[in-house]
Amino acid sequence: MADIKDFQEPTHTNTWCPGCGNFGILMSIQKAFAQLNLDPKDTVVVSGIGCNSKIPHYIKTYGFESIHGRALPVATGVKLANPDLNVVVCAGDGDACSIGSAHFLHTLRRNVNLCYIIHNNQIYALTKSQYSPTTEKGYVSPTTPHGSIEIPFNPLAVAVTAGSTFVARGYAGNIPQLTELIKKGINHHGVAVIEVLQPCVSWRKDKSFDFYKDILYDVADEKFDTTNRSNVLNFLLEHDIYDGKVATGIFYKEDKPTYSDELKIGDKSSVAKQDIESIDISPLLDSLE
Amino acid sequence: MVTIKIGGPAGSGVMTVGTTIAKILKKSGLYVYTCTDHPSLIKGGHNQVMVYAENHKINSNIYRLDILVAIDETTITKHAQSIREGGALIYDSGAVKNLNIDRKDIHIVPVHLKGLAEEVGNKIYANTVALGAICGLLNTDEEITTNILKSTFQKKGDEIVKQNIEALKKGFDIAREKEFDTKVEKQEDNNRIMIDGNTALSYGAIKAGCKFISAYPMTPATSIMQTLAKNEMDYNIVVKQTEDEIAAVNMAIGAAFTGVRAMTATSGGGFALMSEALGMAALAEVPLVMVEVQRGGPSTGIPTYTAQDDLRFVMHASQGEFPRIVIAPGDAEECFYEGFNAFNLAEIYQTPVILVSDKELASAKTTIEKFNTDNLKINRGKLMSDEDMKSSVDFKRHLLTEDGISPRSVPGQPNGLHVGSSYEHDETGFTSEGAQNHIDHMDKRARKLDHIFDFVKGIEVYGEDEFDVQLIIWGSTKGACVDALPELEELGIKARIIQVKYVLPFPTQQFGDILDNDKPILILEHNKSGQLRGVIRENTGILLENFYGKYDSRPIYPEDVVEQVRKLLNK
Ligand SMILES: Cc1ncc(C[n+]2csc(CCOP(=O)(O)OP(=O)(O)O)c2C)c(N)n1
Ligand code: SF4
Ligand SMILES: [Mg+2]
Repeated sequence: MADIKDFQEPTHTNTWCPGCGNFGILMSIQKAFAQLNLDPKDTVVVSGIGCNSKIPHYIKTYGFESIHGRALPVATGVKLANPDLNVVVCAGDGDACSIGSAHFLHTLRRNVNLCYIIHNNQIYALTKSQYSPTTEKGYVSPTTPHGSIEIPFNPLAVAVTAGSTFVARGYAGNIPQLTELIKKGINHHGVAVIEVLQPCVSWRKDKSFDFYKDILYDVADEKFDTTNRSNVLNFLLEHDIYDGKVATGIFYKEDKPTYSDELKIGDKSSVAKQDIESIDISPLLDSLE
Repeated sequence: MVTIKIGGPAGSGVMTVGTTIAKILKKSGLYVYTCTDHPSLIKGGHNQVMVYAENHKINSNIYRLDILVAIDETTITKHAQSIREGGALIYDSGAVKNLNIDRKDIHIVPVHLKGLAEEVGNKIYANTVALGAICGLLNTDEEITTNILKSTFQKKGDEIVKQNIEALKKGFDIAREKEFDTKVEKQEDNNRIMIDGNTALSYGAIKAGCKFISAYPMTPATSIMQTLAKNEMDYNIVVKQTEDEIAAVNMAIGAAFTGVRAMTATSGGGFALMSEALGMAALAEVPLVMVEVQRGGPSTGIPTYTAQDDLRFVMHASQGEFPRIVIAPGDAEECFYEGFNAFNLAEIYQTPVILVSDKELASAKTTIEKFNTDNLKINRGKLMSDEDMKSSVDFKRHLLTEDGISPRSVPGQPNGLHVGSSYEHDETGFTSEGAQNHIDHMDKRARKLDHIFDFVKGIEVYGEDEFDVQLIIWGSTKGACVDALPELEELGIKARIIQVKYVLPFPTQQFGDILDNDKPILILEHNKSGQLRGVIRENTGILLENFYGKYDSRPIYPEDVVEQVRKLLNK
């Protein structure tokens, strides 16, 4: 088995605030990679822009830190071009639920075989604390000094609706559970969405590790039915992350062919590896009248 | 030789009549140019298709009209006055009740399209009757004509073929009686092909090994994605219609990052959405091929008509400064060859290559010699092989090199791990905000294209060595200018055409060497402000005083060129 050290990148100075929830997510990803014995050269971590999205630089695999909100289309390109690669995507709540929300919906309904981790800190951290689409209504931030007006975006309810075939929630402070979720998400044959509750110790002191300490539970402990889509949707709509106990664990799982499985193409092996030296287009030219 | 315009309501099959007569004329050994003129509508509105055939190669449409086929009254009102003396008007006497024109100098051929079609068995053959009338006027070869009909309707069964042939004969016999002055003599068609710019460009891409296209439908670029889609099975191409152009370009970048040759294609509006990612491709040094097929802007503009008004836009879109290559093919052949080259250049220079085309070039079909693919060689630049990477140590994806181009590894290869990044980075790809690092990498990227003109020809020249006037053009304006040369010659004017094929980087040296400042110069563009003219001034200091800008969204015709040149030279 690979070791977590195989996936650590010690030469790249980490610039997250000490105590940031992203560290727990980073460690869980590295552990999951090690425990799944992934080959670093066959693994690509794609991100958008935000505090969370610095993560590819801290993981010793191939990676791509793209632009704000566009992690999913970049990752889709990677995966469709070379389905042999393990593709893990990291994005912030801003990336995923705001600027990149269209890609969120469409990647899920395509069932692209990748694992999508949403670092939900309920704030725009990198741009210094404006409210985000997952921030609760009434929140006071620099751009909403008198309280925000919108109701929050519920990423997992949306994921279930859009056709995601694996939907889960983890917590940056529970590394063993998160590691397992990520492993299952990577092994899932299809798109896996994992929302991670990520404390931002600088801008959301009210949503600290302390805050989450006693309010989380794992639905796996309650014989939760992960196969009935409409029940899962109801559950996710009724139990959001803002009041009372917050559920974690796997909510929904379904086996379906992936986009690459169904690709309408002569040879389904990676197009990135196909020989292009002497392509014969004479049949095309001959067919022109 | 002959020009034919067929007009009718959208959805009335005008296009099919046009395509079929074009095929017949081409099979008869003529060079054919066809283009369509239709509003952005599915039903209703007025459609027209133009077919122009000559004994020699032609590159554009012309104003002169020999035969007008009117399926409705609008066509007559709009175009009957343009029929030349001795020309012919074929019109549907079922649809047009009172013919209200005053032209004694043309042949008038009323044909009851539906009535005759019903005699054969079904009114659906009305278009074939119209086609027959055109063939009758021109006395096209019977065997060629019926063979084309057969191949068109083969799939629908023998009975349908038979009835189409009968319908054609009905129209043919009526028109045959007219003593029209132009007849088509059958010649060898020499295996030439008839192709439009988008198809040619798509075939160039397929030949180059493009195996990934992600795009969002937008006229007039859509047929590129559709052509690749048609061939996805045979040529193993991943074709992804995306949720928007932002996804399209980002997917292509993700795909290209893995080593596949990838592209996207759009028009101006879509290109606007792609701007941010364009800069990312350049910074992450990912080879990306983009096609921008222009249509009349600004904004939604005139979506189904032509223009050359996005040159500045594709040259400058996206924040910051980075190298990009902008190529403006001028005809279907150049669409093919530059479509192929674009993929080599993107990989050699590891930076975006933008092919800028336009509606006219993209969709007009021309007759050309079959492409010669013998000399098309794949060049993947500094893409490392798996073998190279096995022994690689301390690999630096953005190594500062003398030529500005770094070795490139892709996911799946050993010893080449790196993060592609939209942030400024050091040689390894890690984010760096260091002042000197930024300068070093800005300089590195900028020097990539320093020697591009050692490998590609930025400028093409047509016409004689001795000349009275120089025509400077880019893109599809080439067609009209080349076709104007013989008529200018007849007027005693020798013209030389200077085509700027690579606009970015600008081939300053070559342009300066070719331009003769002592001879009259006219620059012609399909825009209002003279975008290339500005680019030339910026790069060479030369102000071209004589500018002809056409911006009515209709193509520039050879007659326009002749008129402008005469005006300039007072001839
Ligand atoms: C197109 C664009 N718009 C705005 C920004 C500025 N920006 C950078 S990160 C960010 C939001 C980050 O929030 P989130 O995605 O939740 O990530 P976090 O920093 O919280 O991890 C914004 C608005 C940008 N980089 N690009
Ligand atoms: S601002 Fe918040 S999210 Fe960003 S690094 Fe600091 S703690 Fe983490
Ligand atoms: Mg956030």
